[in-house]
Amino acid sequence: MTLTIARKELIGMLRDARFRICCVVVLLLLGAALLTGFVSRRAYEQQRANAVKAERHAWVNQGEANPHSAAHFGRYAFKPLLAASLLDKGLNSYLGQAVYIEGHVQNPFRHRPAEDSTGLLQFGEMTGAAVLQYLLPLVILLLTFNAFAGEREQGTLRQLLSLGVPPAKLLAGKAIGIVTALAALLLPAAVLGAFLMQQATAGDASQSALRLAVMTGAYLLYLLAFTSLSLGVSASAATSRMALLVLLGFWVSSSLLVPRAAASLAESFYPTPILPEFLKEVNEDMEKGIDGHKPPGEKEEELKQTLLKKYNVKSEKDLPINLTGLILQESEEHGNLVFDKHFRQLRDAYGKQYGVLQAASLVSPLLAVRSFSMGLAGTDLWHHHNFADAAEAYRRKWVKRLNDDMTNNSRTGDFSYKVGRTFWEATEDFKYTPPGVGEALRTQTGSLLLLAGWLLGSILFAAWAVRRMSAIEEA
Amino acid sequence: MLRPVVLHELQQLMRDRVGVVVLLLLGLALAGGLTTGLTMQRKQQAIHAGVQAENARHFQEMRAQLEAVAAGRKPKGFFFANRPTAVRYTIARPVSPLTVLSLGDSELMPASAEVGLFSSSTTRFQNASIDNPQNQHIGRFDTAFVLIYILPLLLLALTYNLLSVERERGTLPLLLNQPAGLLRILLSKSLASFLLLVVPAAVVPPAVTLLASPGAAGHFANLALFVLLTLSYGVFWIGAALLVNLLGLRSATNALLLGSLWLTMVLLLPATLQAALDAFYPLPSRIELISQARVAEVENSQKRKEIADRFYQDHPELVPAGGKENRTLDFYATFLETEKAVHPVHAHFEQQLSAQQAWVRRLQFLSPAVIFREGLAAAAGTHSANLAGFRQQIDAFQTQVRDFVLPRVVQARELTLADYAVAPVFPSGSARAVSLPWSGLIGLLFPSAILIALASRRAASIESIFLKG
Amino acid sequence: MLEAIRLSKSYNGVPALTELNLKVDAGEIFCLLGANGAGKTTTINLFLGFLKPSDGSALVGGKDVQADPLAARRQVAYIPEQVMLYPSFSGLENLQYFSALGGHDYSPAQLRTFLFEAGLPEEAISRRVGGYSKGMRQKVGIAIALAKQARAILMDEPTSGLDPKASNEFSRLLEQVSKKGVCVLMATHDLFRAKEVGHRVGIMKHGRLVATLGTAEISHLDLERTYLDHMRD
Repeated sequence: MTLTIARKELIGMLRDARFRICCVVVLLLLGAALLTGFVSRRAYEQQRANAVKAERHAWVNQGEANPHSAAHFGRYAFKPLLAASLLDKGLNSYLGQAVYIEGHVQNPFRHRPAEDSTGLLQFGEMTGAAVLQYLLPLVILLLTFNAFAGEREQGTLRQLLSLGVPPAKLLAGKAIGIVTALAALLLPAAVLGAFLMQQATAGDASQSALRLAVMTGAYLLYLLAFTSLSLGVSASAATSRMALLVLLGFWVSSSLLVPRAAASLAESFYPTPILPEFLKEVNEDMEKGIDGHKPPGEKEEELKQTLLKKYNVKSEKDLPINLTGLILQESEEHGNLVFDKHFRQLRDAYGKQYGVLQAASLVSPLLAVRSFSMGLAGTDLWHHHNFADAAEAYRRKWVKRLNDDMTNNSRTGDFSYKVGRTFWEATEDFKYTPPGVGEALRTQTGSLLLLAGWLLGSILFAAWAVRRMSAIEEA
Repeated sequence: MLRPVVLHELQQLMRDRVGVVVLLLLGLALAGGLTTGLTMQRKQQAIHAGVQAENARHFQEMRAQLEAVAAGRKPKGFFFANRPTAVRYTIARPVSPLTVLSLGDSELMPASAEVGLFSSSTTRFQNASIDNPQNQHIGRFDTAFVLIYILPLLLLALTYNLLSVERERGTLPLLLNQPAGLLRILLSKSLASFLLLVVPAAVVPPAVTLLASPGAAGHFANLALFVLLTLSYGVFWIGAALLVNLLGLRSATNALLLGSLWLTMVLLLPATLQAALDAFYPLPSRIELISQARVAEVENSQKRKEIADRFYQDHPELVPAGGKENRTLDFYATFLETEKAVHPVHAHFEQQLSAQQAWVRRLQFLSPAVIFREGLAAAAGTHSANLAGFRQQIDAFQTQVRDFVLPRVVQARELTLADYAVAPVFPSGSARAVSLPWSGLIGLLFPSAILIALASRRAASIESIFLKG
Repeated sequence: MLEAIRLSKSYNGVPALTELNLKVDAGEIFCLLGANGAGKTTTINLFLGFLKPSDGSALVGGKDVQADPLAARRQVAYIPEQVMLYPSFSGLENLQYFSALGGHDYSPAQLRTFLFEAGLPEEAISRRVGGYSKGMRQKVGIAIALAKQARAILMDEPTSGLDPKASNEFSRLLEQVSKKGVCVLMATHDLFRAKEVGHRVGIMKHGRLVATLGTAEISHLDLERTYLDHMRD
């Protein structure tokens, strides 16, 4: 019986002009979004590959220089974009693409694409994710708001129920029919997406495929939840107009109001310092020493005395090593401690703000799926920090090597010590392996649970609503 | 307009509770928007103050060092206050006192500019930020958001069934029999919604701004533009509702049509425009920019072979006494060479960006939401175009500072307190006023006029059909 | 087969049906007569379990409808006053859908037979219902009721959209159906048709069954006079 209902709903949907218009619009937008996502990511990765080569070339050809000078010449690290980002650009436009690696300073990422954008960016980016998160639920609402209320107003509901059809089967049948219609709608896009994904991946094909598969699963949960919710509201509402109003209100709230309000609240509950303050505190700690560590000036003196005693000489010029190199490394490590402390505090604040957004997901399923989608596409803050941490780890190793070379191969006060091409070529380049899908999933278990919760809740709601649904318009 | 119709409609809306609910929602939304706007404005002002404080502190420190030396004491920290290059500035970007009305592009604009002999034109404007990108990506719940997105929805909730409800109630023939004419009656009904929603939306935010934001009172023209833009935006949506109603469809169909219009204008079209711009006028890659600049830098420094220069510049504390100024001059020469080599690369980038911006200015007329957004940002002084004045001021100041520092470098002079007393000071007060884009108003009113003209033609034909038949 | 025992329904204290006592046996056709708002449709909705009685009970096949509405509905066929169907499907498709849901998987030939019996013109069967007249939709409704092969049929103004010829055919159909042992409860304005086809008639006024008459004993004229007398009080 359920399948009979499902079949009829599906046929009815396919014959409905509204559905066919929606099909065309959604497929066009989705197709265009996927293609542009693919093209722009491919272009970016090409540019990145070239930049990495050019950067190494510049490093190797910098000529003869003191190793510590090279720490100021610096290097660059360029963030990779995962193939799955063709579906969801996530935070990319608001995150820098490159970081300057130099001694003494842990630089922020520069060149956020958003800074180069026009005002249109704030209206949202047309990505596949945007179509799936914002547009498709709206399509679902428009196609299902009168599933029950409309049939009641039409009179066919009375006809159906008078046959002795159990309401639960009616709900299931309608749900299956609608979902099948939607699946048919999305199938071409899914095929295109899979094809583009395959074209986009070089080495990490299985990881990308897994990421995309998991993302698709999450979107299914999200869209199914919306379908159930819409059917439930249609069954509980007195009129189809009321159903439409409630559902549209929910969509506006979930998609527009709650996310922005939550972001505002998150920032007011857990504010981050403004940049001048942040820099001031970092500088203070740099100068004065932190957490029980002695201030740099003192340490320098101590170090000098220790070394003089160790090598049993009177002045630093007589040391067999370059004291300056040691002092530079010492200050470097002090700086690292300071940066670690302050960035940890900053990330804590970000984390707490994220917690507010997660809490808001209880009222807005969009927040949950958005977070999950970004997390799996590799375009969220966690992936960015993962790369930033790897770059920082490289930086510390790289600087130490430069300072150590200077320390061990020259004498204090001798600034004519230089190294050349062989040394530069021997430098280990920064190699980054993006995290696997398992790791990414682990960071997004909260969002996944929330989505599952939404689906479960909406199914329960719909089941409850059809049970008490009235077949006739009561006076 | 017909007063009895307007009054009756207002009464109806309030009694129906729809009017009350919608007004309440508008109130809540505006409260949220204004609060966020005010918070963000205060934050930007705090950044401004922080940057200014840091700049002042730097000069204080320099003067303190010189005083200490003059008094025969050892100066605190490393002593370089006597070097001409110690005269360097960090200038804070001015914050518009109307930011509360529309955050615009202000969050993505550089917060400060570095001015000094070795300030590179390509890195002069400092844009580092530690704001949570998560929240920026979601978008801000500011006043502009409420007006652009929410106001049309609330307005459509009141006007989607202007005519269709009369037909469905059965009162349409009675209406058509009035001598007043269908269009005038409908316009009067719309006026009620306009007065209930659009006028408060246009007037309350500026009023709150005048109260809560010091300095706002001096920008009367901006506030006036804000009010007019909001009113015009409201007129557009009412025009759309009028025309759709006059198509003679059911209320539910009207709702769907108008809802689709909102969706297209406010969500689909702007995003599609941006995607199209990115496809046809893509910005050159910043990564390529970095690469090319790097290559230029390397080629340049190789030519000079002044390896020690680089080192000493980075660690002046290690330079032996005597001969510093020559090195500074040498380094300045290198610096200029690098600037010259790197400049064209950046210029090309800026050119492409301007081209994209120009296209936005042209294409914005496709969507009233975009026109409105651009207009609000410009009125609030938070549009990226508003940065031009600041940039010009900085460029002028850079020249001033260079003219102060360079001669002293060439003469190998040591600075004294007297020098600091005559060092350039960045002119305070806001930049030269940018001309306001009143064209935005035309961009909103023109389509509204067309909609209303079409509506009036339809109204006339409906009336003639009715009267004949 | 159908029984009402002190069946009552009020909305917010306003009585729509008061203390209805009624029994319709197998093979019997009972016509409920009365003005709009007299309680005829309410009675039918109560038998279908679409409304909950305020007092008393409705029984189908001896069992209380409220105890298991689904089971009750499965035993009863229903033809509403306004037969509404799915507009983008044809008459045949609508019948096929509803009869499948009613538990019968008929072949197209069988479905056509039902539609023919109900009087739907051959050429209209495969056309979309969106273009049907009220009378045509009514006939599909009749076909649906026939196809259900239930032991009781509830009808609300079944002839209101039918022309006299179709109305007559419908009466013939009802006679055949009642001979097979199906009981029929029909709400109608049509006094003539009620006497023609019904075994008994009940007159309802303001929610009460004020008179029950056997149609064999009285003439058309008497029935009309009695009806108008009751309406006048």
